[in-house]
Amino acid sequence: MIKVIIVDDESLARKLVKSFLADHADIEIMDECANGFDAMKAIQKHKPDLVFLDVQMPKLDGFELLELLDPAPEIIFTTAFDQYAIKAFDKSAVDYLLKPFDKVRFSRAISKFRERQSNKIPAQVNSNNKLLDTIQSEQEEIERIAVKSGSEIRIIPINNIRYLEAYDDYVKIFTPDDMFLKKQTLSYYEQVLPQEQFVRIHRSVLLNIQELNRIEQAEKENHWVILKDQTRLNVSRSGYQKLRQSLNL
Amino acid sequence: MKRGVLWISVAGFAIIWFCLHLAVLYDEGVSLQQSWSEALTMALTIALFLAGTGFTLRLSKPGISRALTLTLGNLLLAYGSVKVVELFSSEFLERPLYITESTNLPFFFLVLVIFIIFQTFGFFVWFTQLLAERNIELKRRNDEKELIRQAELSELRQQLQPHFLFNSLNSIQALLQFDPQAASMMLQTLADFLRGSVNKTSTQFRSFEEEIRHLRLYLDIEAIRFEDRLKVEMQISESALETQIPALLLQPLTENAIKFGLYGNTGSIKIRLEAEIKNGYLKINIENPYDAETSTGRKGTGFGLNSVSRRLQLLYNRNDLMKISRQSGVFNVELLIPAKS
Repeated sequence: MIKVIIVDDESLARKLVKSFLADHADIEIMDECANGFDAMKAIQKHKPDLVFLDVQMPKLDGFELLELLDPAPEIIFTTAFDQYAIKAFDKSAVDYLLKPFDKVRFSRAISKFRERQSNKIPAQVNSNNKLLDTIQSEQEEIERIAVKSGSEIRIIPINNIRYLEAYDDYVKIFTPDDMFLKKQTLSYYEQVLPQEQFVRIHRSVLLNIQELNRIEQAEKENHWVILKDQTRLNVSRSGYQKLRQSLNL
Repeated sequence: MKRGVLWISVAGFAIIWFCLHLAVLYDEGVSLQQSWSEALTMALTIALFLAGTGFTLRLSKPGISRALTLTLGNLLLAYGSVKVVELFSSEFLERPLYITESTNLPFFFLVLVIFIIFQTFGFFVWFTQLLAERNIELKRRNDEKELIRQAELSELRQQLQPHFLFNSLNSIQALLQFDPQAASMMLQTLADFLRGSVNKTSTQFRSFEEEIRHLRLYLDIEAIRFEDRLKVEMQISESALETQIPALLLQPLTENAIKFGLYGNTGSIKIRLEAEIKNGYLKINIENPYDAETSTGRKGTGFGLNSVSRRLQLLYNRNDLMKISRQSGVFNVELLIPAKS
């Protein structure tokens, strides 16, 4: 049996997928979810093979959900927005169904999924990393980051971020009263966070300059930044240049 | 009227006066030195008074009672300027005012000529002012037309774009699978709604009742899409219904409220719409719950608000007709539309 979960905030949209799935006897619908939070729980519980995922949803959108899933199940996006298609395939989605879609188009998506299952194509085939990088650099700025903290999902508005620090394959995200780990690269955040607000002051530190209290010279070429809560961070030479630039010094 | 233009015209009048004055005196046989000093004093006095009136008029609006004041003032100034120069000549230079003395021109003839200059200048300032105002008004109207066109276009764009039109079509697709009759009804509602939006290109105003009817079509569709997650409460006073309001004003605000409300909450939400006549205004309140933590500054939510606020500003030339407040999880937009039926 193929285990499936349907995620969409509109119930008619979920019913449509359900009715199209009725033709496929080997597919079993484990759960239906109306928002990202519920979907997160359901996916962890049922470990589905395939998820039908809407993008625009309350609280946690489809992509934010996907970022939190590790390992991620196979995804077929169902959305009315065509501008996410590139990003969806970047996340190696099986297919991208544009609403409204009919049974024929839907069946094609299912066939794609079956093909992928039988060929056992690994989830991450990044044959053209260059292309993906350029796509990523054209990505629009994000306004919040979703993180998992224990069994909880936390949404961090970017203004609440004090600074980010690279940590192996992870990034530590420091907020006024907490620290979160997120599997991501610091370069990624350097690209998607507003450049006038977040400055790479060091190879491993991205600073929210609104948190900056003062800059101190340690010796000759070395500098420290002191944050409003007195945290001290090391500034590299090129980081100091960037910092001066964004502070118009 | 621009400052520069004002200075140039003052200088122009003074120079012309200086030349004429000089020419008349010299012609009468007054010595050149005495001619030009008197001409210069007169020209400078006139320039000073002209500049004074000019800058005062620049700040006042033309009008009939003001024209009367202006005329009286100019008479006084004309008399004054001749008197000043005469006094100046007799007291400091100890000589007569040649322009009346040697030409046998009556004193009041001179005052009359200067009065005419002042009067001409005053009306010239007012005239350019009226012209400038007319231009601003014309530009404002053009901007307004352009913006309404854009509002209609963008409203259409909003409706024809994914989140509304395509999702609605997807709902119809779903209903077709198990409730064709409901699908047919929804299709009809969608068509009526779109027609109500498209055909509003020429008429700028419509009654609040019509606007509400149009809005209800939109809400009917949203009700099918979001089912029990969306509740809308309307409280509209009878008298409000007849007021004329700019067409297509409510839908973008309501759409905004629904989007803002639904994407910030996982449960069901309630949108409130209140309208009443108060102090000669149609007062409309649209309220939705919002999640202060996750929806701070989310993109795309401001468009509806900005376009409505801008439109009101262009239509009524005021920027205090829309107020936004966020308080304890409730987002409220208040509109004041000057009531007319």
